[in-house]
Amino acid sequence: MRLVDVCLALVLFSVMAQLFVEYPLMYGAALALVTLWGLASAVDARSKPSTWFGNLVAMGTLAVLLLVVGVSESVLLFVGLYVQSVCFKLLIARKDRQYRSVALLTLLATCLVFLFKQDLLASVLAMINLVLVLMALFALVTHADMAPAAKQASISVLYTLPLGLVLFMVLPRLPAFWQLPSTGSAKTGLATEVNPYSISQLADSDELVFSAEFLRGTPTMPLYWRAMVHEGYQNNTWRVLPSRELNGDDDFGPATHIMSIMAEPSAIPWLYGLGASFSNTQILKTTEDGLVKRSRLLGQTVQYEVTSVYPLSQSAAFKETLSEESLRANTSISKTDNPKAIALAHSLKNQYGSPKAQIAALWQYYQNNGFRYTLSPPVYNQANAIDAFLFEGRAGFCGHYANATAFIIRQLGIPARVVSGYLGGEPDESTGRIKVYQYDAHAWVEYWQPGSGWQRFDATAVVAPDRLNGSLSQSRSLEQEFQDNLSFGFRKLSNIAMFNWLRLHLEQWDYEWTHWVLSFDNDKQNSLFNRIFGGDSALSRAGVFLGALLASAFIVAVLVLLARKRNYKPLDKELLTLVRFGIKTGTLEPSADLSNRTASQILTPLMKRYPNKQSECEAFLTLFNQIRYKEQPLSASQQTAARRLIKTITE
Amino acid sequence: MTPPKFIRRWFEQFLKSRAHFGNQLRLKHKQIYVLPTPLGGLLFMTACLILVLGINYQNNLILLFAYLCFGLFITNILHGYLNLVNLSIRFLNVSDGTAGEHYSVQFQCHAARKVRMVHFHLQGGHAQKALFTQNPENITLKVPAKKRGAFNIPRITIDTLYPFGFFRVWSYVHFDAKVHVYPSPVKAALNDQTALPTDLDGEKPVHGDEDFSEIRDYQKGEPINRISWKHFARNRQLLTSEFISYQSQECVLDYQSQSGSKEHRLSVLAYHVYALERTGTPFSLRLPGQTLALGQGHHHSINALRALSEVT
Repeated sequence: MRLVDVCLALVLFSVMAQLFVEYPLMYGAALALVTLWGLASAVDARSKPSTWFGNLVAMGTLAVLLLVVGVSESVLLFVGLYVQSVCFKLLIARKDRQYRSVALLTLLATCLVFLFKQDLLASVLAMINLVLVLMALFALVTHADMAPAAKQASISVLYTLPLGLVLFMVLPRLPAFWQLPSTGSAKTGLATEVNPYSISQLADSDELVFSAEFLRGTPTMPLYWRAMVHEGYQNNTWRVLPSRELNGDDDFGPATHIMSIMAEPSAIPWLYGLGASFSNTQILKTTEDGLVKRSRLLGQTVQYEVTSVYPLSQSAAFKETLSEESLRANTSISKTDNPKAIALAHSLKNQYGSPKAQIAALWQYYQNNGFRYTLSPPVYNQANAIDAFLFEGRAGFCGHYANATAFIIRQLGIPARVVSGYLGGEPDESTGRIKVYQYDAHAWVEYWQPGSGWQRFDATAVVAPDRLNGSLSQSRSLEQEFQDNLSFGFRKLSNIAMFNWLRLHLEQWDYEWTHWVLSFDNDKQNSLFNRIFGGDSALSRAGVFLGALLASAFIVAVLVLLARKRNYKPLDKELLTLVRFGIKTGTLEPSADLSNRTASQILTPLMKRYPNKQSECEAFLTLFNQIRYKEQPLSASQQTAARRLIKTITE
Repeated sequence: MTPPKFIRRWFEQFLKSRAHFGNQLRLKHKQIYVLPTPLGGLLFMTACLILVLGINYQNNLILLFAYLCFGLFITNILHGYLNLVNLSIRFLNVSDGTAGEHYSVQFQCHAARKVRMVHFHLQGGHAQKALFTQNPENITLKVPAKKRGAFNIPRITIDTLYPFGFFRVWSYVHFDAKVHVYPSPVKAALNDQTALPTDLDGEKPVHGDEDFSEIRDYQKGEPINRISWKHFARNRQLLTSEFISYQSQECVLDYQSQSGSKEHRLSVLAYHVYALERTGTPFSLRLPGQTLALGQGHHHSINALRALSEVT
């Protein structure tokens, strides 16, 4: 089997393995099969499928791709198309020229992975892919075996790395030339609609959502991270309504917390903050509800700073009044569906006079009627799902409680809405950062009272009080259920100390990677230069660039000089001076192989021509013969003497 | 397609200024040229594409990868150059050829440090060597000889795609040595009475030493030098080449008395030089502007063939 085939197939496998989760299983398996087929038939180039047959199969796979991905996911479609075409190109490649172009195409395929994954592992794999591509190209040029190819490719990449890093650090970041479709690959436990009634399983992802560093204020549990507010109700479902974006000078009141948050890719634009938050980070927008969202770069890890007023009830902006629109949006509710829930609301309203008492009574209601928190609820799949939950099942997770509670509170005539976000987080002892995972996703209710602003009502706190103190994974009573529902991952193994240690360290490295490499932007670049050089960043950047250029030129010059020097033996230079002198005066014939002449062949004609310098010539010849042929080391004084002799002769 | 004359002359001058001439050469900075191959161009384009992708998606890793590709472009120039630099080439020998066949150039290469994957080209002649070390290695370039003539060995191109084929690093060597391409022999009778084979006089052909008009089984007692060793090597069968002998004891090959075009005449003469050498018949050669005195033997016929190739 040829090394070229193996290397390129390995690169494709690595690319496919990383993109694997983005595509339906069947499609990934089909591409992997194609690559395996190519690898198997590469044993003998003649058994490779003919071009038309390869194209036929490619068309078939293309149809499958269109069917399973659809045209709406343009980036996914394009990447799939690209990887697929590279696979087939490799399959039908026979000539060296074809292999060469496949090698370059796989290089681009390796880059496309970064659209979906940017963690440390993806980067390490990309470096390995680069080495493999170079190995393939090396094998094409030299027909070498694996070991020398791997050596040369690794050396080349190692030499290139510092150059690439300098370019990366020094070259200015350009803004995007044009808007490209987002990769839409990111996952989040949150959805813009809250309808939990058809869900029977939850908490099945242990992916990191974000990690937060508290720059001001301390992280005291419970931490309710708000992401979205759902103000529109219809058919048991709460929806996000469009909200006004702030221009920057609005104020939610004196800040209690300032955090630096690093958020993973997400399918929705909403980001995370405590209470009423606003952010000045460039790509972020703040809405009137005190939420932050990103306008682009959903497929990437972003780092932002957020200033929060926490809890939300402290925010001066909403304390006394609510805008007309907001009031209308937060009170409208259906009066027809879920009649039992409406009846419950009516009885509460009739029994208790003040809204405060009504809400307290609702709290009591949850406490006294045997409600249960579970991650595996029954499916309430009927028209009046809220009724079914409240009066029949009485078991559910946060989504059920928030959904039903907001419905009842609105029936009471109190402005209310469902909020989704994350609850808690796991403090990382080594860095002090709070880490929030996908299984921390939570939903609760906010209701508004004049004078006290937006209050939180979390019915989950009634049924699962443990849940408020930190992350779901730390919640004792739910532990077993949680572990059962968790798909396989490191988290599942966290009872084993070693795995927990490994998980935490991997996350730590990944954090550092994200912090230093992925979120290296113009600001960080400037602050780096400022830290190193101080003063004007543009000037210092030019300085660094010039410096790097000069440094590399210097290194190259030194290397060249060293390489040249190595070729000279002692007194060679002096002899060369004599040769030049001889040629200049016409004593010696200019010819290419002068360097092969012995010293006496050079000196004899000189002595004949200049009898007055004979003694010097002889002295030099003796010295030269001593050094060169008797292999004595040249001392410093002999060197000086030789130079003096040469000077006299050539005068 | 050959470039116009003034460009060729300028190029020749350029090579002279860069010291590509001589029978001993050590490739230095001055004599080494580096340009990207189409693959190198593709790499550059790929890197640009990756860069645009990285900028548009504001993706640092893609940007880093793009810069790595650009970096690769630069380090590859150095790697390719360092591979070829300090390779020493020394002219050894050139063997004459016959038009339509090959002549071969022999030279010796050795390197101060390892030099890999070097190709040598000379007008359709090609040789390749995977590794040069300090031990001298002999390279023989078999070059198709297209036309009869005597000329200086054309320039040899030494190139390498090492390490990844992104760049072609090359140099030229112009040996100071002459090669003779003999006319390809054409079998025809001489138009000269003194050298006519006997059958033209109506006499019965005498079995003799001319070209192998026939090959027959070897019979005991026949001279051993007539055995066709080629056949013996192939078939283990002893065959004798049958020749026609020249009647005269000596022969004059005269250009003027032949008919036909110049090349044809030279080809006929060449044929007879070979034939006469084989029979051991002394001959002299008369060519326009040059006469070769009577002589015989291998050396003499080589001189004759060289004289034939030198006719302008």
